[in-house]
Amino acid sequence: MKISTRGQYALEAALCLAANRGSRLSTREISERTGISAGYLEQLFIPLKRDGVLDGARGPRGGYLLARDPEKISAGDVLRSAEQNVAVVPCVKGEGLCAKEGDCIAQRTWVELDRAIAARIDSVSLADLARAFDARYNGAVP
Amino acid sequence: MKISTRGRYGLRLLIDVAQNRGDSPVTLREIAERQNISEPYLEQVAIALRRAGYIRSVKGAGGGYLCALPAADVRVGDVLRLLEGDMSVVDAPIPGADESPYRATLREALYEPLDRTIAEVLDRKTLADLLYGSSAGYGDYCI
Repeated sequence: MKISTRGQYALEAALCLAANRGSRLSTREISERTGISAGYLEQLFIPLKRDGVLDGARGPRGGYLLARDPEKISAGDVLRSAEQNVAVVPCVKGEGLCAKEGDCIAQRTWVELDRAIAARIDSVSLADLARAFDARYNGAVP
Repeated sequence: MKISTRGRYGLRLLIDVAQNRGDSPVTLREIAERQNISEPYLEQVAIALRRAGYIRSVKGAGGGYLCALPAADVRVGDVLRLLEGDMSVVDAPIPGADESPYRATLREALYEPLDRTIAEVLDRKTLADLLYGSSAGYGDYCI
């Protein structure tokens, strides 16, 4: 049960910006710091911009920064934007995908698991992660 | 972040066998029909569950599967780890490989707590909880 590479990279890029405290970074700079290719970052930033996580533009005078206060952006916001769907099984939203829905005993467990995961990822903000980053590296990027 | 069909179908197989109330063995064909899952796929999952001692097979005419453990002793987390393998939300770091400081921070501050949350939810649930809403008083085999 994995978070996709796409989701992990989105979190790494968002944390890179949060840890940079509000000044713009170019895709190239983010790429150098995170090890994620600039091309991949550009792809990743399309949904993140659309969903109000990042602001910015590509190009020589471009650069990216968080669109909002990092206290107000949760890890869940970033993951849901990058992955589109973070549900643990297809049926947790009750959209009638399965004939057994409604009397499926297993489904209740999945719904409970899905809620616990959502509560956890929504309780951690990018500001929390930036503080954890600072505590770990004492403010100095190794 | 998905539970695979293997884990989901395995759990439904156990639920189906357990709901049979233990008298006569249940065939995979019956389960496949009731659960709307392909029989060959169910067979693979049944093999893993039998080897791990969750179900036992009865050979011959009228044969099939029975539960091998009391429902209260079957932890959902254990069943899923058996069928899904590693349940952690990200792969472990490759030994000797450099991780970016961002990735290392996320591991510590997000992924590891998330793994613990998932394990807590799945390990406090037994098959009996799923069947009856609580483990209490259901120590019998496959009630």
